[in-house]
This record gives sequence, C-alpha cells and structure tokens, in this order.
Amino acid sequence: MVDTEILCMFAEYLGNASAAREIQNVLAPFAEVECALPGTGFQATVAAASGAAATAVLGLSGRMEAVAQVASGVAGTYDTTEEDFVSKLQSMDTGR
Amino acid sequence: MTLTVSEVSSWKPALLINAGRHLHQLVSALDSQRAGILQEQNALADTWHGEAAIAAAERVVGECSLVSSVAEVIQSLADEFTGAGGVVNGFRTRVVEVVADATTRCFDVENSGMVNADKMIALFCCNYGPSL
Repeated sequence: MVDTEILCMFAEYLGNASAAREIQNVLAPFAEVECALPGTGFQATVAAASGAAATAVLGLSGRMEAVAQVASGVAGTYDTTEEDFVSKLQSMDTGR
Repeated sequence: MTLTVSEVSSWKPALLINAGRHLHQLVSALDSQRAGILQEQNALADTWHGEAAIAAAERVVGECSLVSSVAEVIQSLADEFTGAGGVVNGFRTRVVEVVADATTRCFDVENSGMVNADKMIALFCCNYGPSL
C-alpha cells in the first residue's frame, strides 16, 4: 500500500507550487509593451506572444495541479496500491 | 509598412526594456519554483521508496523539465525585448535628431518624411536675392 502521509505531503507541495504559478501575472509585461511601437505590427505580435506565454505557464500550473490531485485522490483511498498510483500518474500522459 | 515621423517619434523603447526586465523576473520566479519543487521532492525521497516514489520522482523531474523549457523560451523573449529596445531607441533618436536639425535650418519636414525647402529658398532669396 502507498504511504498516505507521504502522498499528502507530495500533493501539498505540488498544489502549492501550482497555486504560486497561477498568481504570477504573465500578461503584465506584454500588456505594458503592446503600444510601444505605433505604426508597426508590433501590437499584434505581442498579443500572440502574450497568449502563447500565458497558455504555457498556466499549462504548467494545470499539469502540476493534476499530479497533486492524483496524489491527494490516492492518499484518500486507503487500499490503493503502489501500482494504482503509478498507473494513475502514467495515465496523465495518455491522449496528449 | 510605411512609418511616419510622428509615429517613430512616439515610439517608447523604454517600455521594451522594462518588459524585458519583467519577463526576466518571471523567468527567475519559474526557476525558483522549479528549484523549490526539486528540493521538496529530494526531501521526500529520503523517506519514500518503492515504485510509487520512483514514479512520483520521474513525474516531478519531467514537469520540472517542462518548466525549464518554458522558462528558456520566455527568457529568449526577454532578451529580444531588451535588445530591440536598444535598437529602437537608437533609430528613434536618430530620426528625431535629423528632423530637429532640418527644422532648425528652416526646412519643413512633413509627417511622411518629405522635406520641403520652400521656406529655406524664400529666406535665401530674401537675403541674397538682390545681389544675385
């Protein structure tokens, strides 16, 4: 059986890391610069870069949160085996 | 893309440099979080062994690798912003200087960049016309 106490700790620190990343304002640096070069196509370029960066950073956060949820879900199920936990982690990547 | 004098004059290269600095701070925050996650995982690994521990460690390393990849791309954006800020500043400054210099010499510089010498010619004729 998996050690539920350790799984809870694992879930907690990943959940905290995820929350920390959520609050990082990825968009601010792009927002401040988008009007820096009137007359050019810079604004559209910045908007595209802004969207890509925000999606990437929030995606990291989402993945970390997903792992945390797997761990906390398993931790709440006392008869879960190690194999179950490994299987749940591995299944995160299927379908990507 | 055809730029006007007023557009180039209104460029704000400092914003590019600031954005580069703020993106670099974001990269530092991502790096710091990644290091913190690895540190936490290493601490857990001292007492956590077995298949689940290995799978968890591999997952954490994989996720941290993704964080590094994203951070590298954002850092390259930060570098581009900072570098472009310097280039844009030099270009804008040069345009403003040339326009100011021409204006001082009684040339009119239109917004398109076209230089009109009518005023200069009139002044020239007024000063030297009678003796020509």
